[in-house]
Amino acid sequence: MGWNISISEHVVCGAPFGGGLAVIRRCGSKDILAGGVQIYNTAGVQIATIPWGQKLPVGLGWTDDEKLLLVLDDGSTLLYDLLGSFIRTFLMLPSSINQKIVKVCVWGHGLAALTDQMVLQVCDDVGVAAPQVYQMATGLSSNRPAISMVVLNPRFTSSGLVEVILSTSDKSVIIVDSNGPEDQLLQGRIQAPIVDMAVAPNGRFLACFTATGILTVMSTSFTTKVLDFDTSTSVAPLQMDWCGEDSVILYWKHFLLLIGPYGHWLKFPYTRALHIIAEADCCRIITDLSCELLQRVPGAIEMIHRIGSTHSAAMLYDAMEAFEDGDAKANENMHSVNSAEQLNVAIEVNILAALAELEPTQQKRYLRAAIYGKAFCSNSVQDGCIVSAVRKMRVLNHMRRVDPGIFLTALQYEWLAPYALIDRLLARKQHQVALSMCQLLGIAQDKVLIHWACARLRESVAAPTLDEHLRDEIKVHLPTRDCALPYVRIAAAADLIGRRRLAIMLLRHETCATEQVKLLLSMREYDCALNQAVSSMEVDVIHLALLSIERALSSAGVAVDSFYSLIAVHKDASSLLHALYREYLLRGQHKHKLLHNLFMNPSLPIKFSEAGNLAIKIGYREASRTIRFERMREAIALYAQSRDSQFQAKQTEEHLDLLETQIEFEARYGVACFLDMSVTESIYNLIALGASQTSLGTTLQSDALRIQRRFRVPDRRFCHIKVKALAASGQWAQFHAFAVERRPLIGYRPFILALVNCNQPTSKVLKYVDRVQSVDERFSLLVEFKLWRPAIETASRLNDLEKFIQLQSSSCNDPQLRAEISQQLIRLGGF
Amino acid sequence: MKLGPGAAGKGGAAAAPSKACNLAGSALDLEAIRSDNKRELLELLDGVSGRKALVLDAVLGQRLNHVLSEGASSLRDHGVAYFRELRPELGTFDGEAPEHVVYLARCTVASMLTIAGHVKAALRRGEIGEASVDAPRAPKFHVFMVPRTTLLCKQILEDELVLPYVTIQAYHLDFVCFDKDVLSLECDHCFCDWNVHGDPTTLEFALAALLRLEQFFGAPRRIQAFGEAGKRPPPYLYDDYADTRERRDVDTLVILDRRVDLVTPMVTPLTYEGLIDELMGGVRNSCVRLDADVLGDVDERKEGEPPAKPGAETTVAYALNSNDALYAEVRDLNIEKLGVHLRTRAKEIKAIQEEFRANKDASITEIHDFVKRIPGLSQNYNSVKTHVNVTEVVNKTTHGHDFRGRWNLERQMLEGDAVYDEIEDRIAQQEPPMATLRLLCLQSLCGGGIKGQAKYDFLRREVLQTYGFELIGTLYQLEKAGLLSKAKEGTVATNLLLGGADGAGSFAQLRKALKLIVDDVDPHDPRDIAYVSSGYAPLSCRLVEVLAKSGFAGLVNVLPHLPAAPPLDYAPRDYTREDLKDAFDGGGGAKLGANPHKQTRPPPPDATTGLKPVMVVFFVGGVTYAEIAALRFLSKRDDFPFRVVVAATNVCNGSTLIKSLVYEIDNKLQREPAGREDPAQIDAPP
Repeated sequence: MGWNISISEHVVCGAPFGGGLAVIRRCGSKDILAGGVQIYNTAGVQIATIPWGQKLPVGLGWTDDEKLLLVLDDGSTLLYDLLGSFIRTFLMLPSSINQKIVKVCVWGHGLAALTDQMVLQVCDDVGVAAPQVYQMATGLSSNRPAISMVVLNPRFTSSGLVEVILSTSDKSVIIVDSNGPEDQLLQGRIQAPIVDMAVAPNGRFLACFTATGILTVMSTSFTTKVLDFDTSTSVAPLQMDWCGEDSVILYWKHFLLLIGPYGHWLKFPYTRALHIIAEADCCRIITDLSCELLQRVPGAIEMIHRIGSTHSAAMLYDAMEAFEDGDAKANENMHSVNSAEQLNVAIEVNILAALAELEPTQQKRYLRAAIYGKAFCSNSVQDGCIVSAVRKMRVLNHMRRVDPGIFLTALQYEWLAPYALIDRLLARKQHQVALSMCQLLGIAQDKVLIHWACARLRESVAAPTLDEHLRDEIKVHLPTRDCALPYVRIAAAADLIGRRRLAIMLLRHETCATEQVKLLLSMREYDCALNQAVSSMEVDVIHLALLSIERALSSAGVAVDSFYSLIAVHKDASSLLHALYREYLLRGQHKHKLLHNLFMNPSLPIKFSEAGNLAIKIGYREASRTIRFERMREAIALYAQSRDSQFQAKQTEEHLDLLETQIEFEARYGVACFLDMSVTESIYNLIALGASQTSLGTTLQSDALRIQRRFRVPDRRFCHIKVKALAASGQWAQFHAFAVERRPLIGYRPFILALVNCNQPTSKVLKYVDRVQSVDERFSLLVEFKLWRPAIETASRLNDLEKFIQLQSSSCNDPQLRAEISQQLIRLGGF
Repeated sequence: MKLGPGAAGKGGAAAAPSKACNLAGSALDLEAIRSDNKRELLELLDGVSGRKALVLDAVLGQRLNHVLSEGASSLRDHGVAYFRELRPELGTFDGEAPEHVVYLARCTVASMLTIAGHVKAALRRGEIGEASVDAPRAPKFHVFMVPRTTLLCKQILEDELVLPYVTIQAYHLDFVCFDKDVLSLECDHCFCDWNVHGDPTTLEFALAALLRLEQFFGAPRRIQAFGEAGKRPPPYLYDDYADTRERRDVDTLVILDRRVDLVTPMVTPLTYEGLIDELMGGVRNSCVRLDADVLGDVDERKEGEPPAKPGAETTVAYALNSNDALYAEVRDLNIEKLGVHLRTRAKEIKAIQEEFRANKDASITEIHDFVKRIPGLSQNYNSVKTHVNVTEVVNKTTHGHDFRGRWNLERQMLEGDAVYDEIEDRIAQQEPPMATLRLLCLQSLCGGGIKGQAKYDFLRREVLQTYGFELIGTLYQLEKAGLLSKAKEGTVATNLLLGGADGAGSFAQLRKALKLIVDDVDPHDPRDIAYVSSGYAPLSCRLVEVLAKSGFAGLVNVLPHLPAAPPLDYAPRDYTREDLKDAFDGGGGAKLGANPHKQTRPPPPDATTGLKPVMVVFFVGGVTYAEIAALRFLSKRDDFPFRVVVAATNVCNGSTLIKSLVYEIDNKLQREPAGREDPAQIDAPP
């Protein structure tokens, strides 16, 4: 051991899986502590010191991820990492309870504490930011106290909840979980109260030491008893724990007693004080001078080295040794491994032995045996096994060095998995080792690199460096291409240490725009976030930025103007905000104010036309006439402010005027057929009304003319409307009068069209056709309106071949007429 | 197939023939896209186990016809017990209540609000939420957003306080395959969103869809992009993008922003398909609704089935795609050739029938042969009858005085004349507003704007006074989209210097440089793409044609007159992702701009198969049927070096394009009750 301490004067607590050791020095017999809490690695190298007052913690323990928990009797609990940095503190006892904690058990990430009033306080996960503590009733009291306590990891319980096992002085054993206590009623099966208990690493067995010196092993379901062993002493052991899954180790002053599954026992004398740490497949024995590992001889090694073993693996090993000595016995030995199957088994066992072996020289011998055996093997199934075994051994041997000093057996390594091991290395800041391990095992290096960068940043707090230097330093060490490193995490770390500028620099390297923007938003770097969002050109990201900034600014009471001026420079952002507000229109009555403000904001180009359009849209949405008028006046005012929308302003004004006129008409004629009609429709209706309100004929006419004048309706359009309206309302007399009044401005075609559309008799239609002066025009009108008979007559009167050709190709399909056309064609020499 | 409750109730969906086009023999393996779309949908549905009610956005329902080629009834095998259309009320279910309500909706605010309404109603009834122990078993709500989930939609559901009660997933339905060579995103508002509002959301969908195309067929060898939309970087530059450079199915990708060619949609097409779209109420999702008596198999129906109930729907959705061999032949023909062609085909079929009937003593084998041909024959016969009927309907209009007048007017404008008086006259005669606005826009586009403030104001006022003041916002939006403008004062040259491509007369320059007006078009034997409108070659297609044949060298005189010049021209495979990213970051890919002085030669056909390489032309903002026809025409020609596949954000025509730009006004004015009801309908007394 690299340390210089005496175990007898210290309290030791070791983390499982070869983890760190927390050591507290006791001053004499008093519960007063001196020199703080020391953390060592398995090799006794000091890693950290936690400065500590004088109060001795009532309990301490390690979580699965190597965090140290220190619990004081008043319930305050402190969590430290392996390097002694404080993580957080919380209370295991609510302040209202006036009790003291007397005993503490740690499992996985959880913590159970027993108070002097025999109340259990349990926290299932101490790793979260705000650990939740709850109470479990034990049914015990200070009059009937528990003398020992263990915790059954929820991994092993049927309910999936943590179970606390308590033993009392009146021989009962109580299991407590969140559903309440349950007495196991063992009074009849045990002779004396249980003074110490230990749960096996596989959670299936419980070792109990009774006051009369009997060690009882039973299943954790308390249904079967596995072993009763009389130690013939009434002195309770100093420490009792499991060694692997099948043996129990007891420590009395000056010796250790190891009791096997069938009651076999071994006694190891120790002159000095020691501390036992149970592991999954062995136990560590910490003494002043060394850390020993006590383990049942692994099966593979036993097969090879058992005295007189004739197993093929042993034969192979012997053959290898003989071969290396140049002894012919090698051949003989190999002959005894006769089948290929046996040889494969032999090789496999040797590989396993190499893995289980802790001594590198011996590891090599087993490996050499395996490789020697491979020479006799036709297939190379074992290649992969050897390679992966060697890689594992390299990792394990490196870990077992003084630095980093993580002493793991191969089995523990399997259980822990390489990722957890890497986490442990990172917790020790062994980045180089972790990186090499990733490379060796082909594991993604991202995590290591990010952790390194973050650690580097945190270190930089002590020694001020320029942001640029730091960034470059980090960048050099991280791969740039073909690898999307989550730079956002480094940036977040930089921000946490208060180096915002550096954080923003680092964020530029982040490839995921969403993450980038999210972090910038959380840093309240709104401008920068918006910039990044826009340059990502992803709509979702821009929306994210817009929505978050809008919400943040409005809740902070910042005026919208500053928000608008922020988005003003980004075209995509401002158009998306417009789109967003436009969609708000679908959702609520009053959301349009937002859009209006946006149009009118001076930091953006003011959009008078659009604001005017919006006002009109809102006006039309109103059921009330007055509000619509108001909105339209508002629109006029908006339009009027821009040179580009003068037209709109004028038109809106005219439309208002029209609406007022229409209201007047409706009152005058007692019909609701004017409001909201266009100018054309209004004129049409005025004229059409003449059919039913004959008495008002002249007023209607003068009103129609008034509208024409007021809205500068061109005469031609007025004529078209008049013709249509007169025809549709059947005012044929007026229709005729209008046609003959003077030569119509628009020609006779609209008249004819109106007649045809109103299914008027052909004779009437023809009258109007005859009014057309030009013959050609007349003819084409006849053709257009499918008046074939007169068309043929006109054509034959003119003897015009062209016209007959035109008729020939027309859609006329009366056979008699077609025959006539053909005749005429022949007559005129067309064929 | 209609996915209403009625159709599902009767199981009528199963009987309807598939509306989906058979994609075998396409230049690209489009079936892969379709089956992937289908796979994703089924996986999503299977992920929700139990009886489901599928609630479809009406638009999506039709789109699904092109995904599920065997019809929506196949979804019943995946637990869909009810079909519903997305409406404000979810309604009740006749049979056993579904365990899940699955929404398939586009990621729009409106549909999210409707869904939120449904969930809130369920909350009010106490079916879900905390106190749901005694309440009837409530369905769970799932929302599948198309084509992806957006932050905004989630935000809406959150703001409406329903987010905890729904699960959200994306259904990445982007391209649907309408035919062997037509892909569409069916996103009608893309043009308006991008050009009027500057909202890039739908554009992002479009570019993401292109990326998906690349994942299927590999990165194209060359990308040529016209217009502002093409200059936005493809989203994969910022995404985890699996490089697919080993597949090389697409040689060239041309991205055409609709803004580059706004003239073509305004021109009336004269192809059969184009006219069906214009005159028969519009082709939606490659289906048109026809009157039942137009269909060819109407006789058989009368014999075989009970007569349709009075008041039943008299229109039938008719699929227009190459499943109908005859339609594939005639759809791109000029209307003038169509009649002749149909007549010949009808005669052929008649002849076969006659031949058989005449042969009184046919041998058994002969009879057998004939019977074997009957299914195809009767199908052809029905098809010929249908198309003859449809052609008759179309011809009624095209032979009309109005239609000819309109064509002449368009032609005059295309040739550079101003026909303000005619437009004014048409307004005065109250022709349909879309048709008039279309002419007005065409006039503005061809003439480089309406000449003179007074004239401009006058025409706009005429529109407002005739069609209603509500159009005031629409006029503004048309202006903003570049469809309508006042001519800039000054000469062409100064405008070019000052205002670039939008200056007056740029169309005139293009017309000359690209020979857009072709006088001697023979519709019976066309030699130029101008046949699609009997004289005007669609600008967009002409650009593609020249580009394919002689590269940008052929467009030297043209480029200055195009908006957002210069176009991009680059070989994506020559760049690394970082380089491309840098190029796009630094000012819209200026470094990737086309070099008109570099000679490029079109790639040769495949040595083994003799097939020409594939060119995908992607229209951002819509493609017209005339353009599809023109590109098909090019594709078939020997001297055009590519086989063309058309992809687009949507299929449009002038009217739908203008409709998408209408500034929506919801008129809620309450009128006082009075004698007359609808004033526009004052009719002659009996």
